Amino acid sequence: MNLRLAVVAGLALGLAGCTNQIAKDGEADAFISIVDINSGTPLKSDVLTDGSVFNDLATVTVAARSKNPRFNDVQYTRAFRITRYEIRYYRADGRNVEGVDVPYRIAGNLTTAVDIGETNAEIPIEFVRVQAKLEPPLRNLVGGGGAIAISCFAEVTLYATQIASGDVAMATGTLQINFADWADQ
Amino acid sequence: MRPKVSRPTLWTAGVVTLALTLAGCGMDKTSIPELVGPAELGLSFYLDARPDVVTADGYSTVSLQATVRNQIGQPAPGVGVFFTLADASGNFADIGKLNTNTAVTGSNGVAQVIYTAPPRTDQTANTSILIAVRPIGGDANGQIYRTVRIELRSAEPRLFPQIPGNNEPTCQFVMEPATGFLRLGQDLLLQSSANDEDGYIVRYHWDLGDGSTEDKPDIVYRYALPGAYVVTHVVTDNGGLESTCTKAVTVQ
Repeated sequence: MNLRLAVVAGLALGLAGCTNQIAKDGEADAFISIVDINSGTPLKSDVLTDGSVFNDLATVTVAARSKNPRFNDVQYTRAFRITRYEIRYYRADGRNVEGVDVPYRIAGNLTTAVDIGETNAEIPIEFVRVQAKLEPPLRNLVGGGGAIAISCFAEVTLYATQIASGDVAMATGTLQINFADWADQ
Repeated sequence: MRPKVSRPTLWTAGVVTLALTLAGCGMDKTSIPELVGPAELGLSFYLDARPDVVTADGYSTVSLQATVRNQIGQPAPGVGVFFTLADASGNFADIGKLNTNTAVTGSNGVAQVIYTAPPRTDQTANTSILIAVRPIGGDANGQIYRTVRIELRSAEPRLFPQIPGNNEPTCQFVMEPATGFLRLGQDLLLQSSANDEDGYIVRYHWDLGDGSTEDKPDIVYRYALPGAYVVTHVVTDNGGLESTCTKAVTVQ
């Protein structure tokens, strides 16, 4: 009896590890992935530019691939429509109180399609809203005040719905942002 | 001899296998979460002044309420709020006074202070002031003031200079009950509908006929004694001209 139980348990444990995590995330037959953000470089964010504040955009490159690598043909019905983004800011030193150490997290809606296949989609995302530059901690940086400069990371999460199935997929990526009252041109 | 395995043991093993298999090979459903985060500033301020027109007489008051909401739009209790006064141009100036400069929001996210209008002078009549608020934080440079404007009206029309060519305002008002017949203890509603074609009304004055007077556009009044009274309404325009109209009231 013990031998049979051991075999069954071994088989079960083996099956538990049979699936790649990327295939398990979401019920769609494909997935999305962030290929790069701002070409992999940090974003320089000016908290005051010629007396005004501006939002900061960065390009997020998104790929959509089939979970079955042998089935990557382009079909519109298998494409994803990205509809939501969330951005959370955090710092390396662990001081992450929103509105004090880092800007408040934000979320927004957008609509853009990503086809399955080799072609990636480039999506401009608003990583820093103007409101964030009008209140602490970013506003304190004006004129070299407050912390003078803040380096933090923006973790972006994209949510997409597969057009045909309605299944939801998500992808995350991180961008470094260096906030300061940079010299105006 | 072959080991004997009981039926319950086999069932248990089967269920465990199935569960582990599903746990390992099933797909995790993902859903799109609700929107989060601020749509305006993270600490949202809404400043309200009631009324926003007040007579510069040294004692009329305005209730100021600062409603503070947090980054998810919920009332923010326990937030320190700093109130201050500024002139019409936004320069800090003590025109009138506040009963306190700091207040803390309650459980409903509201902090309240009272503003008292300044006495009538040539500088305080027919101008406006700004009430400014900001959250009390660790660095005042990082805060933006939110403002509300209060108009100060003249309490003494005789001080207005006459403007050549100015036409006098049109005096009229609505009374409820319209018949003018009231029972003792019944409220009389008086609502000015005066207008000035070449300017604007700066003073709404009421003489209730029993010795009482008011300086507001709309009033509700209750007579203390029965009798026949004449309500006199006097409006003054920004050029200093007055116009008068009356209605009779009988209280039984």
